[in-house]
Amino acid sequence: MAALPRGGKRRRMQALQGQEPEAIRGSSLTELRPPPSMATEAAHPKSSGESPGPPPSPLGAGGVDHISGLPDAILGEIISLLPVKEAASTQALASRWRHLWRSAPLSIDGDDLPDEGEISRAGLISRILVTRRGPAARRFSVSALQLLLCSSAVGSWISSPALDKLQELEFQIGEMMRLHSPDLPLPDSTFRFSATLRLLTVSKCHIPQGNVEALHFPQLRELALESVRIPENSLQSIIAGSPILESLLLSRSSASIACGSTPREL
Amino acid sequence: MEVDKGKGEAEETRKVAEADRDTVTLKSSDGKLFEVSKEAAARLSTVLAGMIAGGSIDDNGTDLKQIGSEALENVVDYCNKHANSIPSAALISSSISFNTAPFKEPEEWERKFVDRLSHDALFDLVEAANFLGMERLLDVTCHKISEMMKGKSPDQIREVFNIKNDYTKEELEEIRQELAWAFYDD
Repeated sequence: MAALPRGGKRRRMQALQGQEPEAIRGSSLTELRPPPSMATEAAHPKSSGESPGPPPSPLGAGGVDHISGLPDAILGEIISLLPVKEAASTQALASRWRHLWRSAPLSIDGDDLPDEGEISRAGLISRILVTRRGPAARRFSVSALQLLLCSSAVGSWISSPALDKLQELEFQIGEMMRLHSPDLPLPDSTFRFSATLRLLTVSKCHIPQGNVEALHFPQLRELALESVRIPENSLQSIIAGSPILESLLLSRSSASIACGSTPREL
Repeated sequence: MEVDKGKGEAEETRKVAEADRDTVTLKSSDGKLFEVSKEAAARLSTVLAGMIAGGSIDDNGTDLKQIGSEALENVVDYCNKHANSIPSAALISSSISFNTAPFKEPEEWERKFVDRLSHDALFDLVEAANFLGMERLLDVTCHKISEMMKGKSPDQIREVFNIKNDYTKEELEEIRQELAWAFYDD
């Protein structure tokens, strides 16, 4: 991996220079030409082998821990890109990492949590959320089954400050697909994220008249309604209130003018 | 200022010329000069955008004392590649969508761009991107680092990144109990 770069890049840049001498002015590239290793080693003294002790410079090489020197905010970004289990376990790396996960942008996919049943997952999610003091939440994705089995817990998650400014919210249909269940109760406060949501997936719910009409979804790019009942004018107003919507999935959903008359299957 | 050189260059080269028509010169901590597309620099770096808008760009090389030549070369390379890789249709709307894209998944070329970096160069680039307020490049590099961590146990992560475990046995045990759900079967 590391063997490729220099030769390849240099060749490419030389080629550019040859063709467009004025586009990339001489000085920068001719100066680049001298053995790159010299410049590199001057700037990054290599600690030979596994010599312990403090690195000669923060940009040192060899056995140097670069990652722990990054600012908290960047480490938080990196951590939030990991599945939640792995993200949480970064706390065990070293004391530098002890508090990072809790203040990193929240990202929870229920599927990544241990599979001991949805009720046990719900308990775990509740416990995770109370410890959070992070900035804006990134992603919260759970099975729609949670709405059936743990509706009060879901309600408290959705109103939890840990999810403030949430960007991606999913109630995934998963194994609910085949169930002929009644409409699940979508928590009233689900739409409190309207200003920040970029992705919203709702499954097996009824979105009653009057819930969404006055809302704007300025960031919403992807909306999926799976087996959802929603009044047609509510659906229209969501779409009208989402100026940058790029993707709309209506699956087994019905938009009706009233009481399910003239359902529109898509 | 660029005059058509009329040598029948490939489309690719012509685009490079267009993108570079208006460039700024940046100077690394070790005094090396780099030329970068002004448009790409302004679009990708909030700090450079501010300097360009504020007129604090020096024609003889704007000093970036915090960034070494290798990292700056990568920054400049990234900006110039970015300027060339966006289809022109996308470019029109890119000023909005690039910084606010909901998914931070890197593009294929961005993946390759960071994959070829050495460990040191990757971290130098993260710091440079952070210093220059390059949100997209920061996303791409952070994504790469998270990929390097993914699927690994804490022990393996420590090894990859040379992280020194400074916990006592008791502290580590406490964390493991607190986060029993998060640990692998180790």
